[in-house]
Parts: sequence; C-alpha cells; structure tokens
Amino acid sequence: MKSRAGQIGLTQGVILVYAILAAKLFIQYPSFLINVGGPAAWQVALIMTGAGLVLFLPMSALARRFPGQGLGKISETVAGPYAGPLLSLTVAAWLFATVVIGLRAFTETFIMAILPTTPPSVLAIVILLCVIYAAHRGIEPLSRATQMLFPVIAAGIFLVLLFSLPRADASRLYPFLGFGPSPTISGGLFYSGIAAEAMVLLVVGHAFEDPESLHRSGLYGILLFGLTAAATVSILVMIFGAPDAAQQSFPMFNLARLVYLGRFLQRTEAFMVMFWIFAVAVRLSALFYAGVVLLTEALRLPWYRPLVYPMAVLAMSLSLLPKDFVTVIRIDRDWLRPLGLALVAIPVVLLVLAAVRRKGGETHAA
Amino acid sequence: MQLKRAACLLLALVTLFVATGCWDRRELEETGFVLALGVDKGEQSRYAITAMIAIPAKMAGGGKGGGGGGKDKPVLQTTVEAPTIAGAISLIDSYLDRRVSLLHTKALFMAEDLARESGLNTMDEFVRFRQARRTIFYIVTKGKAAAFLKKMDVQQEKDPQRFIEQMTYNSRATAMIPAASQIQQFVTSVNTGYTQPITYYAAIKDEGEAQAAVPKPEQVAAGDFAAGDLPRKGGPNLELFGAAAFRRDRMVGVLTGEEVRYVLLLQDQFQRGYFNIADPRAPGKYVSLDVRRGRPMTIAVDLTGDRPRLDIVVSLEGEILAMQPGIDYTEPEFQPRLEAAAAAEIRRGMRGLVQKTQEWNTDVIGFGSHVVRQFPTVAAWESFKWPEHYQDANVRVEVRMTLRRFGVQLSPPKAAR
Repeated sequence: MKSRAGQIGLTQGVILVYAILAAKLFIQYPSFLINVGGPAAWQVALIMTGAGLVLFLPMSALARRFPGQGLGKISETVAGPYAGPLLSLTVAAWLFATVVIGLRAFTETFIMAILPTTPPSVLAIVILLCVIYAAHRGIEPLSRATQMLFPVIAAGIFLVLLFSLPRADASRLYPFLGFGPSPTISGGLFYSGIAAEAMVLLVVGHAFEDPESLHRSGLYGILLFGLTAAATVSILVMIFGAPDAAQQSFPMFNLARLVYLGRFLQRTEAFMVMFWIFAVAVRLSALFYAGVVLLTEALRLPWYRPLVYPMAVLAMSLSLLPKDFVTVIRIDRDWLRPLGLALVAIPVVLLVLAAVRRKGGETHAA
Repeated sequence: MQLKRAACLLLALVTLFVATGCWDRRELEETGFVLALGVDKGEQSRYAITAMIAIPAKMAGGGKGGGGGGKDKPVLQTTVEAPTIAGAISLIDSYLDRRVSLLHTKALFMAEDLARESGLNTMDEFVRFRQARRTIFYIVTKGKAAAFLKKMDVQQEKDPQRFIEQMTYNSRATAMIPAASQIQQFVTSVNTGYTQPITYYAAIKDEGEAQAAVPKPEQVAAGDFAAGDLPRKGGPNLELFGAAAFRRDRMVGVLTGEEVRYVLLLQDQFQRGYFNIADPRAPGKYVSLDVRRGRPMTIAVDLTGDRPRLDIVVSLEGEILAMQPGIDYTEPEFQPRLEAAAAAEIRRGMRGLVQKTQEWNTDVIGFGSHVVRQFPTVAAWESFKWPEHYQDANVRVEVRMTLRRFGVQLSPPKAAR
C-alpha cells in the first residue's frame, strides 16, 4: 500500500492516544464507569487503566517484532494471505463502527445541549468534513494538528474539573468499595477495551520513528487517560453523587454548566463545546483514518484515499440508523466496548502465530 | 491549481452558510428572558406558574424600582396555570410577542403550602430541560409565590435577579441562610440521601402586619427569626432569612436564622458571624462576639449500640466586639468563664436544632455524610436505612471556644460603665 510515510515521535504518539481516548470523557463515557462502580468509579478507572496497559503490551511486542510495519501488513505476513486480511477486516470493522456510533453520539449530544433545532445531518456533515480532510492528509499531519490542539483539549477537561472543585463533597465517594470489589473489578476489566482504541498506533505503526516510540506512546497515553478518567469520575461523583452522575448522558457538559464562581465566572460551557468539538474531531479522524488504512491493506488496494469518501458517506448513512440516543448509548456500552475487549485478542493471536511460525524479529530482519 | 482554489472557495462559501447556526438563531430582541419563576398551587390546573420576564430597555436605563414594586417596572410578570413548566412556557409564548427563554433564569420561588403538600413534581424539568440550569436558586416563599414576585421591591437594584444573587452572598457574612440552595444541591441531596435538602426561605415584609403581630419575648440571639418576622422597618421589602427544611422533596419545617447558623456549624461550613452571649457574671447584659471557625470539626460515629451515636467537637474562635458595663473580659482570669458561657450557649442552640430536626425526622445537617463512611459497600449502607435511624441517634456535641482577640480597645471605656 502506498501510504504517507511519517515520522511520528513519542510526544505526538502519546498525545494522539490521549486525545483519542480522552474525547470520550466529554460524552457519556464517565457515566458508564460510574454506573458500574458507583462511588468507587475511580477504582474502576484505575483497574481499567491497569488492565488496558497490560492489554497494550502484546500490540507493542508485535510492533517491535515487525518494525516499520502496520497491523495490516503484519497480519498478512503472520496469518497468511486469507486469514491475515480477515483479521485486519475485523479490526477495521470495529474501528469503523466506533466512528459511526461516535458520529451519532456527537450529533445527538450537540443537538441536546447546544443546537436543538439544527438537523442532525448538518452537524454530521460538518464533523465529517473535518474527518475527511484529516484522513485525506494522513496520520502525520493529523498527529501534528493533535499536538497543537492538545493544550486546548486538556484545558477543556482540567479547567472544568478545577473550577468545579468548590462544589465537591468527598463524602460522596463513600461507601469506599462502591457496589463491592467484584463489580468494581469486573467493571474495570470490562472497560479495559480502551486498549483497542490504542490499536490505532499499531495500525499506523509504519509512521512511527521506531517501535520504542510506539510502545511508550501507547503506555503513557493510556496511563494519562486513565488518571484523567479517574480524576474526572471522582469529581463527578463528588459533585453530583453517584446515582445522579450515573444517569447523565453528558456529565462533563453538565459540570461545565455548574461552574459558578460568583458573577464573574459562569456559563463556561460555551468554551467547553469548543474543546469538545476539537477532541471529537481528533478522535473520529484518527479512528476513521486507521479503519480506512486497514481496509485498504486488507483489500490489497494500492492507495487509501479513494476509500475515504465512500467510507465517509457510509459512516454518515449508518450513523443515522439508530432510533434514538439511548440506542446509541446501548450499542456503545453493550456491543462496542465488549467487542473492543475481544479485539485485543487479535494482536495476542498474531504474536503467538509469529512466534510459532518464526516470523518477524531477527528471523524477519535476516 | 485553479481547481484547488475553486474548491477552497466553494468550501468557504458552504462554511459561511453552515457556520451561522441559522436553525438555532435567536435574536435578543425576539427573546423574553425569564429572570425568575414562581410556582403556586393552581385552581384549574396543577400549578399556577408565574414568570418574571425582563424588559431589557427598562433595565438598561431609566427603570425605577426593582422587581414588581416600582411604577416603571423593568420586568413584566404573568401567571398561567399548567401542569408543567414547559406547558406554562407554551402558553406564555402564545400571548407574548417575545419567545420565552429560561436560559437566564436565576431563581425558582415555590409557595410554602405547595412545598409542604406535594413538593415540586416537575423538578425533573429543571434537570433535563436544556434551557434551565442547575444553578437556579431554589427559594421557598412564605405565602404565594406570585404575590411574592409581584410585591418584591428591591429598591437598591434595578435588576431583581442581581439583588437575589447578592443576597445569597450574605451567607458568608451573616451565616443565617444556608451555604447553598440551588437546584443542584437539592437534586443531589435527594438522590444520594446522605443529607436532606435545605433551601432558602423568603418572605415579603409587610410592615403593617408586623406591627399587628404578637410581640415576642426579648430575643437574645440576633437571628432567632424566620423570613417575614424580622423586627425592622424600611429597606427592601424582601427578606431572605432562615431556611426551609425538607424530608426528601417535601418541606417539613422552617428553621430560623440562628438555627441555620447551627446547621452551618455542624456542617463545618460556618465561616463567621456575630453572636450575642448572655454575660455570665452580669445577668441581663450581653457580650457580642465575632465568632469564626477554628479547627475543622471532628465527628466520631459509633454504630455498635442500639442507637447510632455521634460525638462531635466544634472548635471556634472569638473576638469580643462589645462588652456591656460589667466585667472586663480582656482580663485573662475572666476569659474562661466567658468562653465557657459562649460554648454552652452555642451548644444549647445546636442541641435544640438537632432535637427539632429529629422531631421532623430529617437529617438536614448531613450527619449521614459521616455515617456513610462506616459502611464498606452501597448495599450495606442502603440496608442500614440511615434516615430511619436519625430520629433515634444520640448526638453529643462539644463546643470549644477560644477568645483570640478583643477589638481595638482593651478595657471598656469608662463611659460604658
């Protein structure tokens, strides 16, 4: 496949993973964690992070075994000309489904919160134009743009959390074990599928400076996201209480609406929306680009760009299919998250196959 | 290259149309911003909902008399009967030229009788409806909310909304209104159940009525009143004082300003306030103290016995503001007596508050926030049913008062003897 060769370094890699994952905090994701952990949602976030880091290790090992190659090429080399593309297609399908659901979640939340009478298709088209442009330019410009937007995205999260602190009541973090150790641990493991989104790094492995950068990007990105998620759900629980926070479709936005530092600082959600758009655009662009690249490689097409436009139209059409926002939330929580968790088995399978078949590593280099 | 330029130009043009947000465009001069809502029991429908809507031209200049009391009002007020807030907005939209919006609504006034009987069943609208914000102040009014909004004459401010907001800041200075009373705190309290809701309590001061009221015995505590009963004349006719106590979403009683102080002390949210203490060595005379929060409050919870037991230690620091002729408390040998008297008086007030809220069976103080720490899991906490145990809880309070300062004068002036 003729793809744009890039030089993504450690910083850009970390920021890319962080932005892809952190964008979820702006929508209903924190509620998912609070739903399973209750007052102990922060423990769920930490367990999710720990498990996510462990699940990323096989991807990183695979990237080290096949330096300078993306997932599509690796899977074909390791699993053969039939099973390899099939595995790539599976990952591409999941990435694509994540984009579709993310797109609809974006339009729905935007309509609910900001523009109630704007047609969903208009909002979807606007964000898709960003996604198409980013995918068209490739991963390197996208990661550089993400690096530039990172302070804004991070500020969007941390300033809202900081300004909300005066309302926080630590007693709402009790009972300390939430619904009990078992639901907390199982909830944390259930959401450790965040590693599947970090698989974007493996898909664009060819664009990294070296496998070490990819390895550390994934680990640091997931770790940073996990700590941010733990802080976010803690503050949400301390402010709304677990029963209320678990039922909010849009908790960070509601938090921004609560910022009320006297007459001088209130109605900060307008800024929040701006940060949120940046974060969503980065997330959807990266996932979409990775999906299209993987599809290109699976179909053994020479160039990914011709696929960008039809896939974007398809994403747009599919995103309008779910009946309502609750359906979108349920598809995300009950299907995409567990499937993402299952998906991280693919790098493990490839790693085992590579070892058995003696592909990659020193043998490959030789 | 030309094709690229043409594409860019086309994209820019398309963006112009898309980025204007024309579907949701709303001109200021077409919008009627509701500053406050009042909710009473309706006659033909469930609620009689009163909207106080801003008249921006009069607010910007020339408008005299804030709220509903002035002749050239900066607001218009209208009441409709409807089962929901959204229903009321629809009706108001049908006869006003401007489209009503709750985006700038600052306060929700609810009639006391409605708060006691059924609570606000439409509270969900303030949580779910995008126009409403959880930062809206929730205020219970003595009497009808519509009459309250109509009579409200804030005098100093053109904007009644600003007046109310400013009043809420007084909680830090006087400590006689709850630390917060927004929809957010109310909803969170009801949802978590760690503490029961407490809201602002307001009344319109009718001086004629006050004169006809039965005179009270001499009050020692400066704030031993609820809104509407303050012994005063003149000034704005609105009083925001004391608090409305709730059990879940139903109001169960009114706390006086003094009792709210004890709530704040026991919530460890008390900042400072002036207290009148009966002089322990000179009966019939008082010492005024500026009392501030000392060390953080400690609370020990023991659930091993038949009744939950809470041992609370509140540390306070005081500055003498005034001594009536009698003992010179700047002398170290007299200070322990005054400290003990002040501590005893505050402790007595706290005991009275706890007893009152136990009779109402509502933990508005929020002891549940401490009790919950004794339980490892949500299931264990929920099965304990703290609200049912609160009535029987054995609450022991110890107050430690330390006199730190004595004003800018040491011994009292001779003229005061």
